[in-house]
Amino acid sequence: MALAAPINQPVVQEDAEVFSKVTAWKRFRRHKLAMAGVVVLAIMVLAAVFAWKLAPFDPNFIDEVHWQGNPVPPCFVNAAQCGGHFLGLDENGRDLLSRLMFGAQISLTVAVSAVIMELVLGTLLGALAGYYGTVTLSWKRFSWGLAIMLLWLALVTGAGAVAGYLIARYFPLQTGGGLTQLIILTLLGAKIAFDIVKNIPPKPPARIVAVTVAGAAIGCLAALLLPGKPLALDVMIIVGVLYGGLVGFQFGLGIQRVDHVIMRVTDVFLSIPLLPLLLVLTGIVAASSTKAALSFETIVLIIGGLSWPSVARLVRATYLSLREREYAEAARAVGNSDLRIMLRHLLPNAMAPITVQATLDVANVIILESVLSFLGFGIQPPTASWGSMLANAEANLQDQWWVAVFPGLCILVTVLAINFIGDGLRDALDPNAIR
Amino acid sequence: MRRTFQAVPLLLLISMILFLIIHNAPGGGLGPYLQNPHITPADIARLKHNLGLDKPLPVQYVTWLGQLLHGDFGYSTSNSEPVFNAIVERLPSTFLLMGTAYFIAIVIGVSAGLFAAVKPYTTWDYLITTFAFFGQSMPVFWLALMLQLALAVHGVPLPFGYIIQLPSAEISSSDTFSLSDRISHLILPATVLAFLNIALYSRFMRSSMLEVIRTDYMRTAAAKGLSFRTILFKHGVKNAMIPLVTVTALTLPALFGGAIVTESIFAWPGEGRLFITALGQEDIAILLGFLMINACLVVFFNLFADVVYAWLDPRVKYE
Repeated sequence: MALAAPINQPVVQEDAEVFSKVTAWKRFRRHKLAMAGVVVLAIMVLAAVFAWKLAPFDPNFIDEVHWQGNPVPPCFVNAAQCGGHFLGLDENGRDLLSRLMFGAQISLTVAVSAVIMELVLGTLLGALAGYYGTVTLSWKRFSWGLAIMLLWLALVTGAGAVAGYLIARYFPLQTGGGLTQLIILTLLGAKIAFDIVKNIPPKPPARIVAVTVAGAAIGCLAALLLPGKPLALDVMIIVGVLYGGLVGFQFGLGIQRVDHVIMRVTDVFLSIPLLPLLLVLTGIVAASSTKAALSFETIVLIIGGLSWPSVARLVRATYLSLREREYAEAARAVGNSDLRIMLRHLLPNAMAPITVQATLDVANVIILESVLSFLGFGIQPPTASWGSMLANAEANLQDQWWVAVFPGLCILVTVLAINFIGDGLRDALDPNAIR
Repeated sequence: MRRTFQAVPLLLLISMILFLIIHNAPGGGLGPYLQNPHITPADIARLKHNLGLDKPLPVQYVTWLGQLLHGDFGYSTSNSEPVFNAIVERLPSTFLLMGTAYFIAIVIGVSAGLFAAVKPYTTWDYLITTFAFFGQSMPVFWLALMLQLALAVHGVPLPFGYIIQLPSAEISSSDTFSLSDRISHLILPATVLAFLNIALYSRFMRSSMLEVIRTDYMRTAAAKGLSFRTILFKHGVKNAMIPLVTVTALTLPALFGGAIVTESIFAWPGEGRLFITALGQEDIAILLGFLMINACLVVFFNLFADVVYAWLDPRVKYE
């Protein structure tokens, strides 16, 4: 269609205008509810960011002067009793308004962090799957590929385990601080990713040597980094299996088949109901050590780690159509690497649906976190989050209704605002939108 | 057909992942026993041996899978009965709750969506759309709390608590069964669940109907001189319902899986509450069974939705 139009026709210019950010913003501004959503969300974010300045009390401070075991209602209910606590005290005698503000910090940060994690994972895997996607695979080729892959896996894991064992046996070094470990593991990850995207040595004998040495090196590193033999051995084997599996996959089946693998994984995760799985995982973490282990980071990791498949599917579908465009072809013809085309040329054009999805997912994660916290498997007291503030509200519903009403109202208003924004973005960014 | 075959490795993979996750739980299924001071380490060892928990994990997995294929989901430690029985026992009450809620949601949601699509961009349309947004953004447990609060303040005599008889007790003493009691307990949780799903159906119906209204065959029908009512219901709704049927098929797993949050707040003796209780008591057999059954249902109803869609809409073809 675009090819049929001569280059300097006004049609093309109009097209360019439709996709520009300015028109998108103009369209977004016309969506009144979305603009209201922006205002409400901005207020919430500001209250959260400046909670340390704005909040009238410390969120964990128990006002024993006014709190004698009797409920202290909000000021607009009973100005004489409230004792300067605008929204009253909660069921433990802490200032409700301050807790709401600090709760906003946690709830919003959890949601945003989890969505960022989900976006990074989902976009990366979805882009890989979509860019290389839909290469059909005969059963014969698949079986051969699988055999080759398993061979590589055994080779690399074996080399890693032997090398690591020898190191741990003869040089029992007690090294490895947190930071060095992190840096080296990051480098290792980068190296693996690099190996996968680039085809390392072209000729089979050189390949075997290179990859086996890499496996052995991983084993040595693991042994050096992790004090204590059994753990190091475990890690070596895990890393060996991962690395060997990836390298074997690359050589056996080829990166073109990455789509099949990623899509099967998304199938699995999208088939298991999300909330029960989240509850089981957080329950396991809580039972493994103490409930306090359910920290902010754990919740983010679990939610983000489980919700990327839907993003991956979306990105894959977008990439499947984008890779056929002329500019992708042109970029390939000029000699750009696949990775560069994926990130520099296709990603900016896939941003519209990703942005909409991300916005709506922030809303969903806020609700998800509140449900987890409400059921006692999320953020743990005394840390305030909107969900955890409601965890005890049910028991005190009759005599301290404000403890139940306000945190939920915050969730509702924020989620509503974000959903309106998402709706506005969908209309604004959709080039085919009618109206 | 090909997709049916693809479901088998998918289910295998799901079972493998679920098994691995659950068996990572501390205590490995014996959590409640480990904390009991009356049970000696020797007893634990014997229990482990009898339950096959001392075998390597892959062996355990294969054994479990074999049992699963025979419909044996293991033994629930907290309920002291086979998992399968515990789950089947709760099925009628979950079915009652979810069935009522979805029935209400579909009836109201579809008619609201239809109404909004027939009069698009009017005040009514905006009202319905805004209402749908509220349903989408409402934390379910909070809505439940607020309903309880409102009813408590205004003194409407609706019981929030248990259905008088648990389904297990009901079989023996069916004389205590009372319909009015059932209904009065059903109203709140069903309303809450319906409210959340009305949004889904009305938004879907609206966009689907708007698409249909703009089609050529609708204009042709109007040109033939058919009445508005005939066009709308005979030509419009029929076609607009096709994608809706798929959405409904995809929500069917919930009919069996129950609603965890709503059931636990309203103390409804269904599958969701069974799950949350099992979670609190580290009863991994129930957790595993629940997750596995629900994943199977999702896979099955996904296939079902595709089949129904292809059957209803002859334009769709799967190889």
